[in-house]
Amino acid sequence: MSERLKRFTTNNKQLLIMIGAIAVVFIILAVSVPSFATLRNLTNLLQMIAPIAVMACGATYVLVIGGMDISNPAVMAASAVVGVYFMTTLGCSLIVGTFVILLTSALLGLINGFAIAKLKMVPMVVTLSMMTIGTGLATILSGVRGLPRLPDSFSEFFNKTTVIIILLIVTVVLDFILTGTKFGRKLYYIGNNARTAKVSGIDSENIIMLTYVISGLCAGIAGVINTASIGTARANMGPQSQILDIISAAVIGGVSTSGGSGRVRDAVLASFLVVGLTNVMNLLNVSDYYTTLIKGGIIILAMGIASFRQQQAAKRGV
Amino acid sequence: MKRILAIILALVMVFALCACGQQAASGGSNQSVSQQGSAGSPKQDIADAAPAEKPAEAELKHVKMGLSMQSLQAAAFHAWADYLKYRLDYEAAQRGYEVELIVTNANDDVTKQANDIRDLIAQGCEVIFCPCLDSQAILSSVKEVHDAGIIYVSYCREVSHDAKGDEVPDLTVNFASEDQAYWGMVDLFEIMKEDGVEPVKFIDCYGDKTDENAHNRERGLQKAIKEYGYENVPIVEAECGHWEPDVCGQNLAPVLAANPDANCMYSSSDFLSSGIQKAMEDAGMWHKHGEEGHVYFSASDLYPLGIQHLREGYMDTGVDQGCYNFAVHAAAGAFDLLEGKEVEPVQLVLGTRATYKDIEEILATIPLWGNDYADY
Repeated sequence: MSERLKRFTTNNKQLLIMIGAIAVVFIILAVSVPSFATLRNLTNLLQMIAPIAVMACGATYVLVIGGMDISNPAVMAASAVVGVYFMTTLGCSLIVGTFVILLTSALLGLINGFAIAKLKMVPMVVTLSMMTIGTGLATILSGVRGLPRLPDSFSEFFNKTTVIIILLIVTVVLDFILTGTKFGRKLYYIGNNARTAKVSGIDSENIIMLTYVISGLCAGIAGVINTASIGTARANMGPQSQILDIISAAVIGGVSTSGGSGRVRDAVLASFLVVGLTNVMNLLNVSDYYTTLIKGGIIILAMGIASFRQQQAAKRGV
Repeated sequence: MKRILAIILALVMVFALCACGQQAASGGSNQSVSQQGSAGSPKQDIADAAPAEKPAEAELKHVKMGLSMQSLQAAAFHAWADYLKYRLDYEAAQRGYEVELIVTNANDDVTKQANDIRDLIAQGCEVIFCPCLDSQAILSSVKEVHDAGIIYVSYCREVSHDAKGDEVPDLTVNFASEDQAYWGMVDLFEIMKEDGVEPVKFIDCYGDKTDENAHNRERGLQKAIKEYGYENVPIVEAECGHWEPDVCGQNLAPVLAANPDANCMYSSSDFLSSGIQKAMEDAGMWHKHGEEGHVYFSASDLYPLGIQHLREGYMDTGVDQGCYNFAVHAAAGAFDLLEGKEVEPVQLVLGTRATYKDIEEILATIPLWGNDYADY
């Protein structure tokens, strides 16, 4: 029994640390901030975290193969605007519009993946370009006055409960694919050594392309959640600064920026800490100046230490 | 205490996160326009809000209010927030309340503003003030606020006119933006008449096309042009992005190059003036009033740079945003609503009209917001 417990602890060290960190912060806040541990606030918090956490799932896949996707917020906004354009201006049903959001995001991810895997372009440059394309597309389709609002039934369907269920499903499915399937193992091989993976007969190009499609699709799911949150879609619903939250959630969750390691589950838990900071600072009525300062400082410090520990582990050959 | 708690929490999070860096290699309604000018001054209000004999805390009714700022990128936005705080303290002192104002900043992110408002609801705010980032997207939040039994004050911005039922704010306090442009242009045309100058061509620096205030100002401009019989004078438009001075300057440069005979200009906001000045200097059209080649120039808002340009004579007329008046109306209205009193649901505020001739006198007598936030 103790042997099994020891093995479990060793294999899930990251998970236990994340849960421990969240528990400590939760207890401190529940005791010290009266409005924190209320059902309304906790569900608000989950709704706020969900889009970032879902995009962090996509980012985890890309980081695991040693890639980088900074276009997620722009893809999220662009696909949401395209979907809402279909639902309002073109008069499509809400179900069709939702699929349009997902298809658009997957298509934008495919373009990223094609340019990176087939054309051998630099991921940072490709996804940076996609960021401007996505923002431009969203701005054009939004028009001068912005798109009209969706019927209330859209927000009512994608309510807090549905959003939390979506987050759970996305996390479980993507974590299982990454850690429990042959496809997932291939991603780790590519991330560890792309050349060796190719020599071993792994179809790296198509797998890399598919990874960026998954990342785009995650942005699309986040787009559906955000659209339900505000009842419409806007170009400015995906600010570029959001990418810091997404990447830092993945890195703090133990995903290596140089590829080959990381889990979706831990990135999602880390996004609770990263995004939850904003909620906590709001509840504490901390001035926005301090909020951004504290948040930025914590993220830089945590990422710096994460990077240091990874280097140390690499030296030890762990 | 809260800051200490925030720092402790931050430290706990840092320590917690420090341990997390490693991963094993396996895995619409009635409108009223208030009087122009100032209703008081923040400094006086602070003095008034602190009575000589402070009542015991137990006697004060504690009220929590929230302000969901759309951004804090411009000086005027700081003025909106700061003045509201002053004025709420003032009203609270007069009415036997103790007010706690919680301020959030959406940083131009429409989704974050919705989340911030949810946080304010969760905090137990009884009134939420909000300069909305998007007049359509905010309607869901207004409904959520009302569903929670909270008062919603649309502050310095209007929600979409499509709002119905629970989406309609309890109170709207906004610029009389159409009148701002109208009166600025009326004063400009009068100055041109005095100087015996007829407009040859207008340049219109159009503000953010997703902001109702930019469209309202355009209507004010057109109204003044029509009233003075200048409908046949050509108007050339320069787009200014989302209130972006650099974009405005970049778009204005080719307009000036193609229209060197233009002698009259309106800008939706003198927040754009740094870009406008650069473009006009490059085109050799930046001259003070009275100098040869002067372009008659009116702009709304009276930002610090606008006031400076008025004082120097580069700008001829302008109408102040009246930021302090927003706070006066919003604070009084919020407390009235809290006490169950009736309020005028839409209150439009017109700031002070100023020209290059009377700006010094105005600065000496009226506390313009732009002067409070100037670094000169």
